[in-house]
Amino acid sequence: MSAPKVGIFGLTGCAGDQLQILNCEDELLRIAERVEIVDWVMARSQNDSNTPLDVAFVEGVVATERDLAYLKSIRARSRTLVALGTCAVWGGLPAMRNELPREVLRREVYAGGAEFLDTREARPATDFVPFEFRLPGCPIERHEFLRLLNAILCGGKPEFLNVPVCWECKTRENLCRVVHYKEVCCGAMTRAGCGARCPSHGVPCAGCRGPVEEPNYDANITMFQDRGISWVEIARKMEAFSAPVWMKLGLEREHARERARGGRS
Amino acid sequence: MSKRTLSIPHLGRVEGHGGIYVRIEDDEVREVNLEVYEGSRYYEALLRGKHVDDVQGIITRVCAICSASHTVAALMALEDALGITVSTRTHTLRGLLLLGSTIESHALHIFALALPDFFHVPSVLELAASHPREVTFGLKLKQLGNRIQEGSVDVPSTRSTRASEGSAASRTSASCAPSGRNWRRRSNPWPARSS
Repeated sequence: MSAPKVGIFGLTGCAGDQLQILNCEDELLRIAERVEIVDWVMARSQNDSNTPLDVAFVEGVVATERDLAYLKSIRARSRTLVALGTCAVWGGLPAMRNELPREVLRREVYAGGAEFLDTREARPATDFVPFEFRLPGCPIERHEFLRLLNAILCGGKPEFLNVPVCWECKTRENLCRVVHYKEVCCGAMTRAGCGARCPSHGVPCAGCRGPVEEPNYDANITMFQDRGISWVEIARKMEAFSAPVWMKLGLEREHARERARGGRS
Repeated sequence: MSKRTLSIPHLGRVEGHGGIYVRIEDDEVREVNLEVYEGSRYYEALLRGKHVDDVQGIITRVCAICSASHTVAALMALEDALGITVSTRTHTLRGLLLLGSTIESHALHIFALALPDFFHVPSVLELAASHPREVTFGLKLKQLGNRIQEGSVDVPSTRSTRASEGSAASRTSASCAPSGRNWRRRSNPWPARSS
C-alpha cells in the first residue's frame, strides 16, 4: 500500500498552525516517512495541486473570494478534511468585529487607493464546507496534532479531553484568576488541551481555543458580575476570540443595551 | 525575437501568499508582476477600542514566525504611550525571548525554506533523505530557539520537572508546557491586580 497523500493549506491567517507542524522537530521526519506530502505551499516548491488527497489540513479564515474558491477546490479533492486552528474552526481574531463593514476597516487601515483589495467578512472555514475533524487552538497544540494525525492514519477517531481549561488549571494547582484575582478569565468556557498555559503564567484565559462543548455562558457571566466586574469588561474579554459564537448567544446585544444604559466602561 | 514567460502562481516556501509573472523578450526582462493575494485581517482597525491589557495578545497573532517581535514591539509602544519604564530584568528577558525567536526563525529559514533551493529539491523532507545529519542538526537548532521562547530549555534547574522521556507525544507536550511547578511556587512575577 502506498503512503497516504497529504496536503497542508493556509487560507487568510498567520500560518501559525502550519508552523506548529514544522515545529514538531522531533517527529517531522518520521511523519514524512508515513505520509506523502504532495501539496504544502509554505514548505514545498513543486506542489501538485490536482492529485486527490487522502488527508488535507486547512488553517485560517475565509476573508477573500479567492480563499473561498481555494477552500472549495481543496474539499473537492480530499477524502478527509481537517480544520486546523481557531481561525478555521471558529473564526478567531480576524472575525472578532464582523459587525463592522469591510469597507470601513479597509479605509481605516489603507485610506484611499486600496479598492482593488479582494475582501469579505472573515468567517471560519467550517462555515462553508463540511469537515471531518476540527482541531482548535491558537496555535494548535503539537501533541494534539500528532495524536490526530496518528488516529487518522490508523483509521480511528482521536480522543480529546472534552473539559474546560479550568480542569487543567486545577490539576496544575493554580490560584483561580476569577475567585482570587477578580479577573475575567474564559477558562470555564474554553476547551482544554493547552495545559492551562496562560493561567499558569499568571494571565487569565483569553479563550483562544474556542468554546468547550455546552459552555454555560450565563452562569459564567453571573459569576463575573457577582465579583463586581462590569458587562463592558466581560464583553471586552469575551468578544476577542470565537466572537461569532459568543455573539450568536446575544452577548453583543446585551453589551449594547448596557452601553445605552450608560454602564461603566 | 524570442519570447519567454515565467509564471509561478503560488510562491512556495515562504510565509504568506503570492505569485509572480515575468515576461522576457530577447533575454531582456520586460515585465514583472508580483501578486500578493494575502487576505486582509485589518488588525490595526480591529484594535480600536480595545483595552491596553488585550493589545499584546492580539498583536502577537499578526504573524506566527515573528510573534515574539510583535509582542515586544506592542509592549514597547504601549509603555511609551503610558510613560512606563521596565526593569532591567524584564528588558533582559525580552532580549532572551527575541534571541530565541531569531534562532528559531533563522534555522527555519535556512534549513526548511532556503536550503532546498541550493540542493534542487522541493522541500526539507527530501533534503533529509540525502543529508540526514545536517537536517537533524538544523531541526535541533530550530527546536532550541522554540524552547528558549517557551521557557522550556533543558537546563539543570528545570530538568527534574520535565516529563520522563516517554512517547513522542508526551515529550512534545512536556516541551510545550510552561516551565515546572517549582518555578511558579518560588515567585509569582504577576502579583494580584487591585480591583
